Amino acid sequence: MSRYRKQILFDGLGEAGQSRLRESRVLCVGCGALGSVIAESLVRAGVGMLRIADRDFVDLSNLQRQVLYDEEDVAQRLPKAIAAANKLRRINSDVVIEPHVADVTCQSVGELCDGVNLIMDGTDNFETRFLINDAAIEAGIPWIHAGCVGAHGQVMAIVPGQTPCLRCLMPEMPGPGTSETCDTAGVIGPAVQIVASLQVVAALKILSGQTELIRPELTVIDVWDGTLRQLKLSGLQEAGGCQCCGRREFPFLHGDEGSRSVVLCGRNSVQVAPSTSGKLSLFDLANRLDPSGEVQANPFLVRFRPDESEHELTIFADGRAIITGTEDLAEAKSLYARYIGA
Amino acid sequence: MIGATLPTVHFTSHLKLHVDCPSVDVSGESLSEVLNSVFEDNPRLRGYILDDQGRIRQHVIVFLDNEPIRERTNWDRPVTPNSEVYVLQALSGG
Ligand SMILES: [Zn+2]
Repeated sequence: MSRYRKQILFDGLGEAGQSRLRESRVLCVGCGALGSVIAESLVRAGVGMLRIADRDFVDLSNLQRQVLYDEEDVAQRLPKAIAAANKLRRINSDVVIEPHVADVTCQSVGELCDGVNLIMDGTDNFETRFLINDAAIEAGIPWIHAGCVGAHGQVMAIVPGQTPCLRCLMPEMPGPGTSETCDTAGVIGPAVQIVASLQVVAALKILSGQTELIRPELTVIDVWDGTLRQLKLSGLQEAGGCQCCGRREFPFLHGDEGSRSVVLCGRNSVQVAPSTSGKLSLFDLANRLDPSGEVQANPFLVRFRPDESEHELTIFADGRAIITGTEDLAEAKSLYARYIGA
Repeated sequence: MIGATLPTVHFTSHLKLHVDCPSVDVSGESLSEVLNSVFEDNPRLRGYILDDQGRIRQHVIVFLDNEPIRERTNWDRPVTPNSEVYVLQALSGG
């Protein structure tokens, strides 16, 4: 245990906390910016098992903030889950690392959650977060949600039966293109590091058997302004008011919601259709995408070719997009989340 | 807190990417009066916070004195001169 001596000396954990931690099993969904920091911190802290699910490959533009990856991973075009597992095993060989190169969908989420004590949010889109929320509440597994854009981030620890859930805060999924993504508004490494570190602090409390320390609140930070707010969420959980944690209906988990994506055969393209209906402002979207590549717009659609990419995205006012240059559903959904956001 | 005599409205950093919205002190005795006087001074902000039917948008959450407002249409909650309103937008990135 000499590896963990400093952590055991810390009053909040101690010997008992550390041995609970060593027995714990965690799922990290998404291993990009937040996921890298989460995975590295939990593996160094000595969890028993870390399962990582990610659908993406390592790209040069990831290296500015995704601390687990390096130029060698980019050269080899390694899937993030694999590159992460390689690195994490060198960091701490005591920890069982279980990489899954997979899109987390309503079909796969159940198996991925099987036997874990905690789920960490390392995703970059609301669709996956709403799915995780359903899966976590249904199975009674705590999960730690976070989001980060620019210098700004939000963290919320969700403990079924103890705190409000994500849908208590946001009953419906935000429509496509309604919020900036890291690919349109940018993001700085320190914001990611702090947000993910706050997630890990909550994780250490839960995994060391001190779930009662988790309070119903949303932490909102801005590292550029140097501000941190803790907004109370205790009033959100009215009796039975929430579809998910109140009425225990799980539409995202049962596939009633969630995007409908299909490979368009022979066209080297995929259509991604968001679950939420509603009109997208093509004008705003075109302006937002303009710095990131070549944009053509007309009243019916926006055609966008990201810089240094073989892909082209054609986005319609109903939020639907046809992504050419791939027949891989996971890659297409990942591009959708990056540039259009959902 | 900016002023001790008028309610203060703060906006999440994320909204500031779209529209200039520094923290402001505005008069008003209810949440809707406070928000409406903000929108009068800053009409572009209205479209980011309310939809075309005047409801708070799905990805926007308004906190009054650190407590979330659940209602998306009816915000006649009383505010005090010391009240703080915080307008938050959900974040997708990560
Ligand atoms: Zn709920």
